[in-house]
Amino acid sequence: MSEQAPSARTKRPRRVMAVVLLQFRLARLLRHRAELAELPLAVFETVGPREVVVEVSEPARQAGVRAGLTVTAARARCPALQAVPVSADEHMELEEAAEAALQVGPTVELTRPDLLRVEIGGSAHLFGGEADCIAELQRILAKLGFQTAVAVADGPDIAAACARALQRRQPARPSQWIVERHQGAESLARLPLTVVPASAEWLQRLERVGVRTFGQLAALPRRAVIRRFGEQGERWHQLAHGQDARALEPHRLVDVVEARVDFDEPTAQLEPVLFQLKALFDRLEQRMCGRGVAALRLRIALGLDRYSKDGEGVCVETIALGRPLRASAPLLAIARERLGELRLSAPIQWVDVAVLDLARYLGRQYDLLDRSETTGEGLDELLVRLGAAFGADAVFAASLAPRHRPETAYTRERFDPTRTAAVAVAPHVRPTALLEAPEALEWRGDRVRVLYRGELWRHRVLGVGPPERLVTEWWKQGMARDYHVMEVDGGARWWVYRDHDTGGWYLHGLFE
Amino acid sequence: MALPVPVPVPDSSADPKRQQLQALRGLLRSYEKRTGIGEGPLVLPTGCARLDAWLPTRGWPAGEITELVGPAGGGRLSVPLLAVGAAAQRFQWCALVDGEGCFYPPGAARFGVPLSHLCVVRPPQGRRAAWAAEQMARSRCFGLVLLLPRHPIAEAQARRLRQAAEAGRCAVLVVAPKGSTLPAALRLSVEPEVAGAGPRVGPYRERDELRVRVGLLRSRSGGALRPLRGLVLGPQDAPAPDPLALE
Repeated sequence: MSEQAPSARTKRPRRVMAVVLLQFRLARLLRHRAELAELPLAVFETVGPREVVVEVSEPARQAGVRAGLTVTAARARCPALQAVPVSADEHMELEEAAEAALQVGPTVELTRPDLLRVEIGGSAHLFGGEADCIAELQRILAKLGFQTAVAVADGPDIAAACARALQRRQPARPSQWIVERHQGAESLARLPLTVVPASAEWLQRLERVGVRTFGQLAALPRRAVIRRFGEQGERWHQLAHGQDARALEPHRLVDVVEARVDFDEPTAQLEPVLFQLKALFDRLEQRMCGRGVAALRLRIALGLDRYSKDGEGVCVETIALGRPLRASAPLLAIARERLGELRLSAPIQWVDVAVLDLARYLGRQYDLLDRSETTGEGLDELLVRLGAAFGADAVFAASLAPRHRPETAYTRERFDPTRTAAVAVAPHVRPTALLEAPEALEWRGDRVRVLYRGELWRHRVLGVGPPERLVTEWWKQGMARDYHVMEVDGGARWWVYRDHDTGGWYLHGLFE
Repeated sequence: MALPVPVPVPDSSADPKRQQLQALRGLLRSYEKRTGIGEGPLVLPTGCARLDAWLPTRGWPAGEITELVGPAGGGRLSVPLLAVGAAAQRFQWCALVDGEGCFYPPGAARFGVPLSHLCVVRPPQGRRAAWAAEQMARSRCFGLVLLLPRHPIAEAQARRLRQAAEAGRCAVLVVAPKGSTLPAALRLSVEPEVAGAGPRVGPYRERDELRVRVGLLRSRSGGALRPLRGLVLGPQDAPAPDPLALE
């Protein structure tokens, strides 16, 4: 027995997926300003005194605009060109994509401006293989508005080089490349060195000795490369031979799951706000999927136009969901109901959604025979929506509690139809309706009268049942009551009690 | 460069699991349509055999509103509560929208109502109770929705409620306040029967059951004009224990 190794898990080979977000800057711009999609569009960055175009849309490309031109030169070719500067907070979108990518692998490394690397060696089989794993991630990122070029290889830099090569071949269309195990050198051999980010000076040094591809670099003797190009040369030489053992640097998640959008023009209509909220909820959904969590409490902040008359300030709505939820459709339905009730003093300038409380998401079991699925909204989503409208405590399944005080003889539990329970029966006669607060009963002879919700009830007593004495909680605000079932004319039955402390009679329930 | 031919990427909006499930559901629906089964009952048993036999619809009609009127404390809530147990036996869930804010689960449990199958919604101050009932009826999640409104239901809201019942194939029972006018397929009066005048003040034989008289005020499908007398609601009429119960 001791000779046999313990049943350790099979160690899976290291595999890394590199994901290039295609035309990332344009894509993130169109996420916020979809109306620009049909226009000739260019994103530029400022390099010293020059404004250099880095990405162009298809209409601009057809007009002759290319990356690398200055904005002035680009406008000369296409006078209708819309030039937009690179946003300073574009890394936030990349972080969102990184969080979403956690759905396919446990470790994600993020490289600005547009590259992700995901360790999938231990998780690809869960999706049915590497090809399916790639397809899944491309589907997830497409939901966020990003098309991708994806490559899988033994190491992070080989995979990244292959993904960049795919990007060059098809700059705007999704594609994938799986480099088989130990085939990194062969795959890189025909790729130009420019697929790996490096300075122009470095590439020129290599070109001077006739090295333009990884294959040519691999053919050089290792010692000669080290002598001439130093440490960096050695690293590239190893890469050209398929040696890529660098560990990924895990991306650290921010604490708050939050998303925000600004409107170009303040809007007083609900529909544009909901349109943007849908996009925000989609983004939050993917991020929560990546983290394996769901929202319990949301905060929707509406920034009001500060230039309008009464527009100073922010309108904040907090929504308690009652149970973990992350799907965007029900969240949007909840937001629609809540925001529809608002009366704002000024148009809305921006919207910010933050998840205040997170809970672990335990997944959802689909039901083949569940007909509610045909309506597009399941029971969970419906209950969350009702909980958000009335308060999470207002939607419940009752459960009997062994307490004498009638007001606390049951507890509110989450309605969970999959949970089965024995039918509990109250041991004593109890009414089906209990008044919110006992009403004083005036009893003279065989006549009673009581004022209930502004209505005066006068009746003749036909009979009164024997008492059920309930004495409890003497250690705090005690209760000592004799409860009776009272039958009044017409046959209605009341649940009344005599209070030992005051001696007065009260109506507490009705046998409805 | 020796790059591979790009592989087409599947439709980004498709969730494979959900798609497979939808395909299976489609097969199931076509089978049900072909064989005429599985469409669900058109009526929901009331949980009381006598009442089922007396009602012109032979139960609470699904896809319609049934209105119950009567004096307070006269059993008008206990009658529909019996159906919760019957629905649980058919693996259907029930909802109670408690606009009145007075539903008392221990009392319902005396009638054998499986509380775990009853989803209670208690809107604060009874506001938007009819809206909540409409949402639940439309969802197709519940076989029976019982509404206790605090305020009279507006005509437009009542119309929406009826449409929701029809869309969700759900039996909607409304314990109506005075003066309500609902587009109900069935309107019943529930009144208590006097158990008999005993001594004016003194011992009274306490019984577990309520004895009520049910009258038919309106029915789209005709029916008996004579009221159903002596309907006893109590533990003896309670449905069998929850079939899903573990113990």
